[in-house]
Amino acid sequence: MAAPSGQLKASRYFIALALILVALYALVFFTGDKKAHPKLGLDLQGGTTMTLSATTLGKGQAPDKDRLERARQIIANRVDTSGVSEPEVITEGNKNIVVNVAGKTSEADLSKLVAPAELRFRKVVGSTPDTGGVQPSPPASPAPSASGSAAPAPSASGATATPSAAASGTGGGTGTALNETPSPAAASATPSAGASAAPSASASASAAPISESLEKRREAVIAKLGPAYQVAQSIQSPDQVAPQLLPALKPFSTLSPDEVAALPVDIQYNVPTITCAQLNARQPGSISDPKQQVVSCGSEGGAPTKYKLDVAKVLGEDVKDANFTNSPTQGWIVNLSFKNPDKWANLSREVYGNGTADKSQRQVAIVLDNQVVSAPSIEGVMTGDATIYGSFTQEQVVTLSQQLKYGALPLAFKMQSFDHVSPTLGTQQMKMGLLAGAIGLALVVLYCLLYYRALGLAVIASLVVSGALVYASLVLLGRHLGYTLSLAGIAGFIVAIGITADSFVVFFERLKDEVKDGRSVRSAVPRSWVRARRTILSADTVSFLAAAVLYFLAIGAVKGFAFTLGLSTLLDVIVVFLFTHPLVAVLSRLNAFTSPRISGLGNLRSDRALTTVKTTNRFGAARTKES
Amino acid sequence: MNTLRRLYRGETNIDFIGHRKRWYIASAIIVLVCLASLIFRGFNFGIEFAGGSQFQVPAQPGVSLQDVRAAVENQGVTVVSAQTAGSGSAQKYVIRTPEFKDSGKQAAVKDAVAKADHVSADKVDTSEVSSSWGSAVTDKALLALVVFLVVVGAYIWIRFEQKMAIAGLAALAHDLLLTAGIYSVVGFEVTPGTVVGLLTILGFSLYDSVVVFDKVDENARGLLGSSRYTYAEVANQAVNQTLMRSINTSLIGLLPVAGLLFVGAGMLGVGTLKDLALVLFVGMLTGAYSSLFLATPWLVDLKLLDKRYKLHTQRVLARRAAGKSAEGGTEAKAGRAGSANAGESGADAETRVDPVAASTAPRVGAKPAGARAAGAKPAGGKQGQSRKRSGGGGKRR
Repeated sequence: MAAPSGQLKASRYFIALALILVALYALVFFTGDKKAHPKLGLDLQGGTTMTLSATTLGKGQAPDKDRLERARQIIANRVDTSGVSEPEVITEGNKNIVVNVAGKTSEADLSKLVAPAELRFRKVVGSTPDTGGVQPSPPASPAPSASGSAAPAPSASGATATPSAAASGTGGGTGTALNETPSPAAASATPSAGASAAPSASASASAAPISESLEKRREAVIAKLGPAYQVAQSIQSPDQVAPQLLPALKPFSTLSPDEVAALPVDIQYNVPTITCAQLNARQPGSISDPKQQVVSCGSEGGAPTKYKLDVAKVLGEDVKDANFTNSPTQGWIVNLSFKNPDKWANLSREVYGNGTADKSQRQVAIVLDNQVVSAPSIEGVMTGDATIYGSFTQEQVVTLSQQLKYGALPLAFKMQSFDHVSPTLGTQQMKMGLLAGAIGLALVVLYCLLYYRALGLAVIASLVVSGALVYASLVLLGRHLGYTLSLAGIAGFIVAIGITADSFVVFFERLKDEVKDGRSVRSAVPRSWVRARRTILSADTVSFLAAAVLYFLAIGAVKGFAFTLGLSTLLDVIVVFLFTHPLVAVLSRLNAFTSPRISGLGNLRSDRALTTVKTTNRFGAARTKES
Repeated sequence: MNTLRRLYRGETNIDFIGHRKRWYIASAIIVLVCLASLIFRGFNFGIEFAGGSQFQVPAQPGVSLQDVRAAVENQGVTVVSAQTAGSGSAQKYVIRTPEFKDSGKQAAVKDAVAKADHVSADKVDTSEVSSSWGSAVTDKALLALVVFLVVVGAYIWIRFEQKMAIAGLAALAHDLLLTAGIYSVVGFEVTPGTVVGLLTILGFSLYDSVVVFDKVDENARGLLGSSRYTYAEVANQAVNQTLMRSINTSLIGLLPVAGLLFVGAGMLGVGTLKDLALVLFVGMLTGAYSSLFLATPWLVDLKLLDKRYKLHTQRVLARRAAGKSAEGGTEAKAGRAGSANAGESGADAETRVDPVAASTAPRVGAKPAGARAAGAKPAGGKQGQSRKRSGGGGKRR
């Protein structure tokens, strides 16, 4: 069919649109999990949402971006270790952290998350691989266990073992080096030394007495454990547990993290059936008391390791600054400075001693929350700044320096809002949202049919196309960007029906104007389109700006609303340009469509005008056929 | 029928601009009432602002709201409010209490509610907010408001012109105030959802004004170069031409929101849907009003502050007076029917007060030369070509 020049080549637009749709749905059905469902928000499927605000401890200021991200990781870590299913932890705005949990949780569980996260420097009194008591002998860690502490591990970590001494020499002056020793099973190489170190350290440390409530909980746990506790008490060191004792110690593995936290430190450390999983899941803040000895977990050379740690003599607040550099001799290193160097010098002196002890005997653990983030060994008495080195990757030094910096200004968390939606209510809200959408859509369709008659059909077809685009976008956004559709999001789409339909109204009203001026429907379409296009773009820009500003600045549930509103506005432009306009152009070429009764446009003209135009129209039609 | 028909054809000629003082007075009164209410009555703030806990349970047969309330009070907890919300199977009891100091108490109350309602505890929906949450959301919303005003103001400024930006934003401010006032007068509950929903209306309100401005802009192109119509007339014509579209936009915008409101407020009773739908509904109505009755009239007033437009208006009226005597179709160039209508409808306040005498040289760019003759009532627009006019075109309303 040879279209006359100047006539809109509608097929091009339709093909472009079809390609977009096919591409979107191909992505929906053939990539990712291939499930054609958008990701539903917790208010639609049931679940718990909690918003925490983070402020700097004591000062109450909003944290900076890095620190907030660090705080998010801390919270995410806490949620993960507390064992809730499918947690999602995201930052929102400049100080909020949102925790979404789809499964069952209680507020009591989540409220534990708000303990302030604090950084502590503690002398390592002893360390032992976390065996979980599964194997009687120390397990094979990723690095070869046979090589012991002296031999370098095959990984890059081994390389640092050799240059560490030289490096500490070059560090000289005020700067002294800490060597993060990633070699595995350090303690296991010299078990007796590790064991003997423990009592002496606890003697020197003036550990504060435990609180009354802890005493009570401890008694309850001891009662629950029964004879297993006596067995545990007889253990002097985790490395000297006879394999036959393990069955008797089994009850410890069934303890809840909180029950573990109530046990005396020696028991937590000595009993191999108490695992790092249990220790990590203790309530946030349960080992933050600097006056207590604690047990905490970290990893040595990739293997989970339990540490027994002394009282905290240097706190996170004492850190002045931390940053990382790439040194030519030591690779990626973290530089650390202190507000009160004396405290740090004293700690390093105590740990370093006369420097004769094995490296594994002179470690300082950096403890954040319940976990040891790093346990470098001390290479000398440090009177000034310190350097931590040891075959780090860039990513590791970035993380470590952030963790240390974070310690300088710890954050306090406050629960801002907590919402628990039962699955029943979720389903109900989902149904209601869809019902509201259906009602809204039906009303708009009805109105358009009554008002625009056949053009109303174009509106309906456009809304269908728009719906198809929106749905595919939702599925893809949910899959790749983690966008979840919430009730507010559904509301956004419903409101957007109005915006989308309004673009058609602008166009059709223009069309009516032109027809009223005596043009045939057919010739009015291109003219009215040129003018309507401008208005539609202006109006959509304003809507989109509103949605975008809201999305980036607002907090809370309404973000979802702004998002879908903005998305629909964008898609509206595609639909109007690629579908509605070409469709109307095609329809305008049909004689039947230009009849007043069908299009609702014809009766715009007065009777006289109508007859005149009808004749021209006929001529026009005839001409087209001839050409 | 006639009115509808003309409305449909975009041939109404309601004098929005000429009667603008009326709308100003009406709006001023309404705004004063709103302000008074905002100052003396304030808002009915939701739980998010005061801080507190909310428990929701499905209404069970044989369990009254009183039972559930009593169960909460038996826990030694003050009940701030207890209400039945929603309808049908979605009916539920909503109990609100002050903020809990410890989460243990919260769990105890939750269990008590579940027990009183004879449902399992996981059927109880809880939400808890700290008192600072509402203000945190509101602070953010206010920031968003400022940013939005700046961005959109700049956009309209660039896309159209400064005066349109000012008139549009002024209409927006009016909408905000009016919506806030209605919330205060009626006592609707204000939640963070309401606040943010209010921001969305800003988009709608401006959107409407933008469409009218777009038309004004189009109609006024080359206006200063010719002396057929005054700016006020052209603007009024634009409002009339886009009247049906404005009504359609508002209706089509409102219909889905009405669906949302029906479900949100009628069936669910509480929550985001209701908060959003209500504020959108109220806001869209005020937005439709202001873009028709306030935004364009303000624009005209602003324009007439400009000397060029003021002089132009005088010139047009002068010429029209002259043209009337020489009526003979010299101006019978094809024009829009709407334009023809606007001629008489735009018989502007100014023009009546300050009519300008005929200039004998009705040439483009000719100045009226100050020759004034009182009492010359402009009756332009009654040009010969009434071909496209509907029968009732001459009548007002």
